[in-house]
This record gives sequence, structure tokens and C-alpha cells, in this order.
Amino acid sequence: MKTIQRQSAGLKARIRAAAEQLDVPEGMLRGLPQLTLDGDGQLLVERHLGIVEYGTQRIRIAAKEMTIEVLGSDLHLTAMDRDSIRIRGRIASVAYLDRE
Amino acid sequence: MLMKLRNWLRGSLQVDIRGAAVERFLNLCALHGVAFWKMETLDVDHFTAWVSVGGYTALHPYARKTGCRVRVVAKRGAPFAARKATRRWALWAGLLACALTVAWLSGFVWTIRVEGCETTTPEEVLALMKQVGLETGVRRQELDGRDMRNQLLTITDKYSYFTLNFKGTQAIVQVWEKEHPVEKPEDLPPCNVVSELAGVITALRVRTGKALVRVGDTLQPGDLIASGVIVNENDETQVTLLRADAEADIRTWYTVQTAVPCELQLLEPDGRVEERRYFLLGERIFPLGIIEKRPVPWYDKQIKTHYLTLHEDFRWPVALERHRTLLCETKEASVDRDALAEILENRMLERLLAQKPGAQVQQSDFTLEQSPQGAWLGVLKVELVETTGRQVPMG
Repeated sequence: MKTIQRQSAGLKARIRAAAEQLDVPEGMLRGLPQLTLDGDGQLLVERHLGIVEYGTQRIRIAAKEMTIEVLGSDLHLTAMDRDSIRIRGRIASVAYLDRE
Repeated sequence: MLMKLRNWLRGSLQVDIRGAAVERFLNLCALHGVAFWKMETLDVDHFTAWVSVGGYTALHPYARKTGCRVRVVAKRGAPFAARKATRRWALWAGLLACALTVAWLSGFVWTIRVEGCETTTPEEVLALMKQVGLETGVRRQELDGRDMRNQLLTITDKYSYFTLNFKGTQAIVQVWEKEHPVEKPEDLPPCNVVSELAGVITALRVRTGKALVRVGDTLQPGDLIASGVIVNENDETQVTLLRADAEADIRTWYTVQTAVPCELQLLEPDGRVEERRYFLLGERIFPLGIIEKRPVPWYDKQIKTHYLTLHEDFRWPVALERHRTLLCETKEASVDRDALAEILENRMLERLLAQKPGAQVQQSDFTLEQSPQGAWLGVLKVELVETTGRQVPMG
């Protein structure tokens, strides 16, 4: 178990180094989600892995290495496809859960 | 915008989704490439969204798997519009009729353009073309350019060649006018100058040749004014032939008579009006409505034609024509002598001068008398000064 964790840490370090060398966002190389927040009314989540919880006050979205929690009121999905989810409503906070 | 157009062309459906595991259903759809847009949450387990036609057919297994119920609420896009339009047979019939009409009408000549006129006018060419069958409204298939050209060349000698080309519904006639070689004076035959009129000479101008008359002499038609035969004064056997050139101003007298009936019949509209409308297509006239033809003894006709014009230089060969017939009745009217005298004198003088171009009026005398037959007889005596002198080849 410890060996796997060590290997993973080494892979992340190599990716970080490559991202620095290539001058590209690290998250893109690692497949991490990209969030675009437009004020407090709209959120675009790219590279997601699906919806975990869906409600008008809380939406949780699965992503690589984390879960994104959007809190607010009158939240609703406006579009969803394989790569992106668009959320509208009054967004109070966006949090990353289960982060290593 | 592009996405909207793509979605419209592909067609899209608004679906109503209900179920306990809506998140799972959405995840499965997203995983398998079924995209939703314009999603509206109605409740925690109930929402509506738009999905493509392909997406709708693909999402049923995931709905079954997650226990969601999917129902179509609305349809939008080209496939649905086309399906709806297929039932509108009148629309398709109208489109077909329109296409057939356009195709049929495009087989006719609607405008004729004439090119290459320098000394002649396009109207002359169009009149010739009409003689050989080319006019607006004829079918293009009926025209044979080569045959028409051969016919035209036998009809007229003004043109050396014609070509007829078609550009859509326009016929383009290109003409080449004949060039007549200018004859050099030295190549022309020797001639004398003779008078064409009878009168007394008031002035004489002899540019070439020998004058045979003097000012004050009287001339008759055919009398010699100047001769082109010059005899050497020292040696009478030496004769030179020239092309004489001369002209003489002569005083001439004319008497013109015109009779006008003492009582005239005037036409006066009696208030009855008949209107008829016609549709003009090229040279063809189609009456609009049933026209009852009946003989009308006296009438005055007014014709107004309204052409369909695109701009100033182009006029469609389609027009509406309105014939307004004012029915009249005749009325006896007497003639005012002084007014008649003035009108008659002017008219008769105008008519005479129109036949004698270049003539100058020296004096005139007009009398108006009533003849025994009951008519006004106008007599105009005019003295003119005219120029005469026509070259006539010798022999």
C-alpha cells in the first residue's frame, strides 16, 4: 500500500515538473476538473465524472481526486454532457471535498 | 448561433424526466454521450431538458436502468417541420406550379437587345426582326438563328451580317451595318445641272461649269442651269467635260385649295363609360373578364398601359392595360368663319411648307368663300423662294 502511495506521489511530481516545462496548467495534464465561475449566478464544471447529489440547495459533482460541492439556493443544472456541467442559481460557495 | 442552427437542423426534443435516481440517469447519459441543455428543475426528482433526436433514442436503456420516466413534451427542428410540411399538399402543389410556370416562361423571349447600330436605329432592326418572327413573347425553340439571318439579308441591304444569341430570356441581336464606299469626285461622271421647278431666277451660284441662265430668267422643270461642257475659245475642237455644280434661287407661286363643310358634327360624351382591362404578356393580349362586344356608333377611347418595371432601363414584358370607352353622341355645330379662316390658312401653309423644305415665304393671300355646294372653300396663294439645281449625268 505504501509502495503504491509512493509511486503515485512520484507520478504527480513528474507531471508537475512536465507542466512547468511545457508551461501548461498542471490540472489539465492530471485530468483535474476546471471550474469557471461567472459571478455568483453560473458555474461551468469541465472534466467531471458525474453528479453525486442533486438538489436546489446543494449539488455535488464527482471529479478526479475530489468532489466539488456547490452550495446556494435555487440551484439547477442547465446543461450536461460528457465533458461539462453547467449550473445556474444563486451560488454561495464552491468547495473541494475528499481532497488528498 | 452555429450550435443553434445545428440543433435545429438535427432536430431536438424537450423531455420531461421523473425518477428517484435522476443524478444516476444524468451520469449514465453523460457517460454515453447524451447531452442535455436548457434544463429546468421543477422538483428534486423532476426536471425538463432538451435533447437531440439521436440522444432521445439512446437514453431509453438508461431510463429503464435507473427507473426514470421520460416523456416528450415538445419537438423542434427541421425533421419535424419537414414532416409537418409533407401534409401541406397545397403548399407543395403551389411550389411545383410556381417552378413549372417559371420553367415554362423561361422558354420565351421577353426582352430583345439590339447592338451595333450606328447609322440605323434599334427600332428599325426590331421591325425587321418582327418580320422574320422574332418579337417578345415567342418561344425560343421556334427560332432558328441561321434561317432568320438568311431571311433578313434578303429583306434588307442596309446590313451586312446579323447574329442572334440568347442569354436567359433575353435575345441579343448584333448587327453589322454595310459601309458604302465614298465616291471620289474625279471618279464621278460629268454632268449638267437642271432645274426641277418652274419660276423666275432671283440668285444664281455656279461653282463648276458654265452658267446658261441669268438672274431674271424664267425656268421650267428640266431647263439647264449650268453645263459641264467647256469648249476652248481658241480651239473649238477642244472640249472638256466637267461635273457641273450650280444652284439657283427662284420665285415660285402655288395655289392650294381646301373645302370644309359648313355644318360640322361634333362628338360629345354622353356620360356612359365602358371599361375593359387586359393582361399583356409580350405581344399577346388576354382580356380580364368576359367582354361583351357590341357595336358602338360613336366613341372616344382612352388607353392606359401600366408596365411592370424593375428599374428605369428594364421593363418586364408584362403589363395591365385599361381601355376606357367614352360613348358619345353627335351634335350639329355651325362653323365660325373668322376662326375657320385663321385655322385653315395656318394649316394649309404648314402643309405646303412641309412639302417644300428650305423654302421661304415671300407673300401669301388667303380667301375663304362659300361654295354653291354649301361648303367653305379656302384658297391660299403663296409666293415662295426656293433653291433648285439637280446634277444630271450627260448622255
